[in-house]
Amino acid sequence: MTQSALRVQHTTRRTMELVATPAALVTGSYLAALTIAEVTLLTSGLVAGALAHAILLVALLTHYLAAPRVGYRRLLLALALPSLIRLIGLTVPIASTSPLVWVVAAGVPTLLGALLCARAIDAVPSATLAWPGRDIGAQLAVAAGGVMHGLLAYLVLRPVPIIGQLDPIGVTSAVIGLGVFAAFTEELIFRGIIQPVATEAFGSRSGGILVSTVVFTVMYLGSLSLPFIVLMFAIGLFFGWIVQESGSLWGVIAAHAALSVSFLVIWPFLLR
Amino acid sequence: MTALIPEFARQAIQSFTFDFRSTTVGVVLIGVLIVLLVAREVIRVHGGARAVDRLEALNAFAYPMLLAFAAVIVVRLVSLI
Repeated sequence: MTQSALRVQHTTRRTMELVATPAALVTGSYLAALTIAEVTLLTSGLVAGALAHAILLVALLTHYLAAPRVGYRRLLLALALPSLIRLIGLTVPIASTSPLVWVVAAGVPTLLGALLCARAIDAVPSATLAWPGRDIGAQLAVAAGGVMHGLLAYLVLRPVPIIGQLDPIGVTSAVIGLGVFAAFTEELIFRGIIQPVATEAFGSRSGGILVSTVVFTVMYLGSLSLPFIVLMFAIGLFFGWIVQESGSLWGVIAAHAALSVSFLVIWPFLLR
Repeated sequence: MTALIPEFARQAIQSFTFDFRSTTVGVVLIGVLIVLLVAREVIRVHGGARAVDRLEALNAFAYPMLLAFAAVIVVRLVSLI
């Protein structure tokens, strides 16, 4: 048998061992349920989608409370956060105002939930939120890449701007609103909570990155654009890898903020 | 277009009135909140040694929902006034 055939055989055996674990089966089932809840929201309307997310959230919390000894227990609580995001996003009562105010109104309770969840399961390693120190150059480079990610996302989806005019007040409020509630909150949830907990549950760094990326991508199914969903998957993998390699969340938080602001504020005004 | 508010959900929500949403999707949120609060009380009374951990986990989901619920009530009161 050749060297490459042996390598393929080893990789296949290792993948099968990983996939066949209880953690992988349970996580796969809940990820499928999360996808079904999002698809229900898209195909059957708000009430059916909200009900699907509510059932999933209660199921995950019940599983968490009823299974005190399983190794993937903390992941169950972390995987309930996307359903919390969706339930809150659907119910905040300010649909008629600016989308930015909406993001902030949905973001405040979501950020509270993320912080309380992180504390409850001791999920976010303190080093990931520590100042990057001498890695600051690499983190800034990652952050600058967010502008290019935003350009790609804009060219794929061409959204309307999230603010009415490209003026200093509008841009500043968008930077603060999107930076805190789109970038910080989402990165805290996907890369700060779900990824390390999934890595621990699977005993595999790539497993953690894959789980956080799948959850991140499923939350963008509502874009109804396959190229955009594929782009979000690629960005999720990249962000997950950066956090895994650098051990810091700040670079991807800044990149996500740059992506959101350029995608929803800068490029729509400059390129329309 | 963020993970918090996807474009499809934004358009769907804007096509309904606040009254419709508060009596449909809002009821789902309140239902989940009631389930969590009841579970919280049951665990507080019968939770045993692990009650503190479990309460902390439930609080992580109950408190944000209470905040969203309070926002709905405030908007409703303002619209009535």
